[in-house]
Amino acid sequence: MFKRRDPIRKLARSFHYQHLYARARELHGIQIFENVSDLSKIQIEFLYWLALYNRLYQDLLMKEPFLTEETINNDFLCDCYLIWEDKVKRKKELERIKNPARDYSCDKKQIDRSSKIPSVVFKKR
Amino acid sequence: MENAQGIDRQKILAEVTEKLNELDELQEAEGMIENNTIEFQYNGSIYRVRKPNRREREELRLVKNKKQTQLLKDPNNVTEEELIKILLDRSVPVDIPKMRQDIRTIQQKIELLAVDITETASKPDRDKLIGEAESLRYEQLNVQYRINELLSSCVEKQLKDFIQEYLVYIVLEKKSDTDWVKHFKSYDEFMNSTNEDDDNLIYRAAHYIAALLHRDV
Repeated sequence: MFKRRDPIRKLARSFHYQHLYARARELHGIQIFENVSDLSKIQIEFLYWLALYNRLYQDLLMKEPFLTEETINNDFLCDCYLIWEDKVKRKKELERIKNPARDYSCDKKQIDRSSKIPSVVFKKR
Repeated sequence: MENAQGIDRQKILAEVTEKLNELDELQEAEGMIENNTIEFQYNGSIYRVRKPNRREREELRLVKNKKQTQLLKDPNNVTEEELIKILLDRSVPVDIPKMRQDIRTIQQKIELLAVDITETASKPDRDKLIGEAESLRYEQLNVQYRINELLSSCVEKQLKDFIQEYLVYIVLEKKSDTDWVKHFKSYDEFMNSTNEDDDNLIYRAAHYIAALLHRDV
């Protein structure tokens, strides 16, 4: 974790390789590497990042909370997001499955620590 | 330095250099994933490293076993477990398990910070948290380097270093016209190479082999 500027990750999230990955999944004739078997460790790792960034781009379209383009393009922020996903999001999803009747609408939103404006809650009388 | 138009040449130069380095890194990375061999240039010649084949893996297994027995037979060598005990029994004890626990504790703190970083919208607050996470990571790496240094003489580490070197000897090839030929004809030639060029070549080859087989680089 927190390895700054990994070129393999940058390649994996690039439009070129994301496009190639999407096409390769649809059309069987398209190869990402010259070799089809006996992949090297770095190729296996590249495939992992291709799939992960593909999922993150889809989540971005679905407007998942806390996920921005900046998060995807910055290895450090992306690592933080993946930890958050693992520790908070998955836990909440499991809770929802276990306890579907609970109201989750007031769950924690993104915190703005710099704002000096006090929170105001408007209520109908 | 700024000129009449207010253009900071030094800053632009630094940015351009940074971009060019980034492009170089990307090009190198692309070359590393193209196939399961990695080609590179060194002193005007083209070299490559590749994954060892079945016969070479078998050769590697045999020399590894032989080396392990040889290392264990020597009474001056100690295993990692023995070395940890020796370090703990010193007049000023060095507690490796405690240091490893420290690494895990720091990791937990980093992960808590990572959750906060994700949930924090304000950039200054987030940058502050990132700074904290980075200094924890630095602290964690320092502990890890110290452990590696303290355990560098154990049998396991010696064996690992030996295997890495032997792999370079096995899979490093040089391009000659259209063929690839083994760069070191024998293990003796590999071990007797003394010039700095060969050392640098071996270092680079080891780096690329790690990408092919372990990817801890």
